[in-house]
Amino acid sequence: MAVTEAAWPSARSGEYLRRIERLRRRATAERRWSTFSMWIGVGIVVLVPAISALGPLLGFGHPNAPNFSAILVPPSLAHPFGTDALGRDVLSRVLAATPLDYEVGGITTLVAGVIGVMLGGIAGYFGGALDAVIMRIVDVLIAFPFMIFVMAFVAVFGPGLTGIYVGLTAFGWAFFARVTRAEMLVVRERQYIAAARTAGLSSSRILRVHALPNVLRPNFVVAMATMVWNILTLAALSYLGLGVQPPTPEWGSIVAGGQTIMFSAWWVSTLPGLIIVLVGVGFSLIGDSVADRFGYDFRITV
Amino acid sequence: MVVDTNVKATNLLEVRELTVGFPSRRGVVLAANRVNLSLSYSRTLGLVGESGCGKSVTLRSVIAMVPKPGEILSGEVLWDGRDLIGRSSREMRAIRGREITMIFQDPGASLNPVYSLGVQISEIFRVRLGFSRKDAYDRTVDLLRSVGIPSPAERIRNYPHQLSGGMRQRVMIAMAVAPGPRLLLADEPTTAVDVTIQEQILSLLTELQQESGMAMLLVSHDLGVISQTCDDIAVMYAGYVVECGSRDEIVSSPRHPYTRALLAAELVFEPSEHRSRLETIGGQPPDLGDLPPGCPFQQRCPHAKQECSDVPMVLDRPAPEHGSTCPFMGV
Repeated sequence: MAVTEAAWPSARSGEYLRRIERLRRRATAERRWSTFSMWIGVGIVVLVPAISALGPLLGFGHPNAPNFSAILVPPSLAHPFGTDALGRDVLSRVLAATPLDYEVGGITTLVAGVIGVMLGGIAGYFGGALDAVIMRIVDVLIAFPFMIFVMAFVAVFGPGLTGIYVGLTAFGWAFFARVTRAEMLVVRERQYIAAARTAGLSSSRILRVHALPNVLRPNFVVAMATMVWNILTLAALSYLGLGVQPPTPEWGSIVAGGQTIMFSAWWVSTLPGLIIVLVGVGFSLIGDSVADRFGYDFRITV
Repeated sequence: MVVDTNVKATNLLEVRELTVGFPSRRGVVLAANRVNLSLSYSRTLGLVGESGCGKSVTLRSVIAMVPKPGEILSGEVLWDGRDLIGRSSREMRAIRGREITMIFQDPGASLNPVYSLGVQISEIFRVRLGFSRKDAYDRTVDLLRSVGIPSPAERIRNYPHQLSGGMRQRVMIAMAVAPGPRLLLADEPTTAVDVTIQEQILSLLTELQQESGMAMLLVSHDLGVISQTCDDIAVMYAGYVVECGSRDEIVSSPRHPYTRALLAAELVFEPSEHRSRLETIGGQPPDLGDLPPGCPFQQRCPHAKQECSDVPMVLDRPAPEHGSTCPFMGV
């Protein structure tokens, strides 16, 4: 700063200060927007299960108990999301379904992530025949019609959650593997990997301790996307009657239940559908702003 | 420098007829061609030459870390009299980072960005030398202090990006001397730092060497750096060692035209009335895939003649005996 002022005595002129101010504002505005959307995402993603935990206390009625005196009541203060054909409060059912959807989405994403990062990391770091084999499997998986793939597992394990867990995991790791491998191809050429080799560390230690932590960033973004994807798939399969069986509340099956009365009682399908979309947007916001943030930091520090 | 004459009798490292090849579209390119070097205990040998002359490849061959797809085609790397070539990767790992360590050109890129200095340096003590976590931490602090890093107990929590270039190179040096190696390989250790830092780094290296008695193999394109630090010098050109000898022999009575050209191209600050145009070496470094027969320097050599195509390019007298491949510039 001092140098700038000495070199250009007119630097303190009003125009100069205005330009500086404008530049600074643009830089902070970008950052703030990214931070803002991340916290919105975190808010959504945390708030939905938090409200769900409070569900029974809210007094909208039991999610599974029919109430034939209040069938298909439109949204009101007593029933914010209305009631379905059996008189059950739709909001209660949506809230009761939250832990299940989060659990399936979270576990399948986590397991797929661990498998994908490990296999992709090995493929990228060592290369060669192993790489070729792993990546061809990944190519085939990604080229496969996703729904059909998961449905095949449901067919094997029977309707219910087992098939969905296995199917989503067996598919999801491919994305993690692809991203990890691509990143690993870059990281393995880094000098700190060569330096670790000259320090006499074993390949497995270098891969685990020195290379893998450097490929985790993009995987976080993939994890957020996979989370959304898996929740939507669970909903879709339940909608098709292949997932969770009634009367257990699940987002997709709630939407499916309202489909036939869409025109007379729009709320039964639409409002739970919006919740699915909302949670999806929440995870995507986190993923995107984290991606933004890392991209930004990358340019600044490296 | 104190040199025990008894120990000096045999050499710590001897490179014999080392040839390293890289596959290319036009066949195999030899990045190092029948290179002979020798380095005795506690001495410093400098390899100097232009980019692509094979100095880094030679250096890396010592610890069997020739970058892929290159391969050592023939020759011996005698470490304490035992050949290192063809050893299993397990055996090489036992030597790397223990008896022979290495520092790289770009100190920023040699540190893992996700770990603090403490974690990164103490890994050597914990994993390679079997120290407990607590001892490793204490040793790390001592080590950082010994390479001249101020307030090491606080610095230890810093991440690489929080350090300046000179500081990072000090950290790299600290990591390299931590296991008490007998040989330190330094690949252009001062190229990525500015001149003031360069001075400090070089004197730190010399100081550490005098304390520990380790030998050093230093690679640089800068003859100034080499002549300031090294006891012996080997000049490489196009994969060949074209001249080798003690520092004084190379600097004051060079016998190869390439060495002379390098010395003439040295940047010297003179009073302005004496200032003349900086000498350069005309032409381009030769294409290693398409070398002329005989001396590879002949196309750029001011003294080139017909017989240059018949010059044998092997210097069988390894450094530190003064030798040159050029028969026409002799004595």
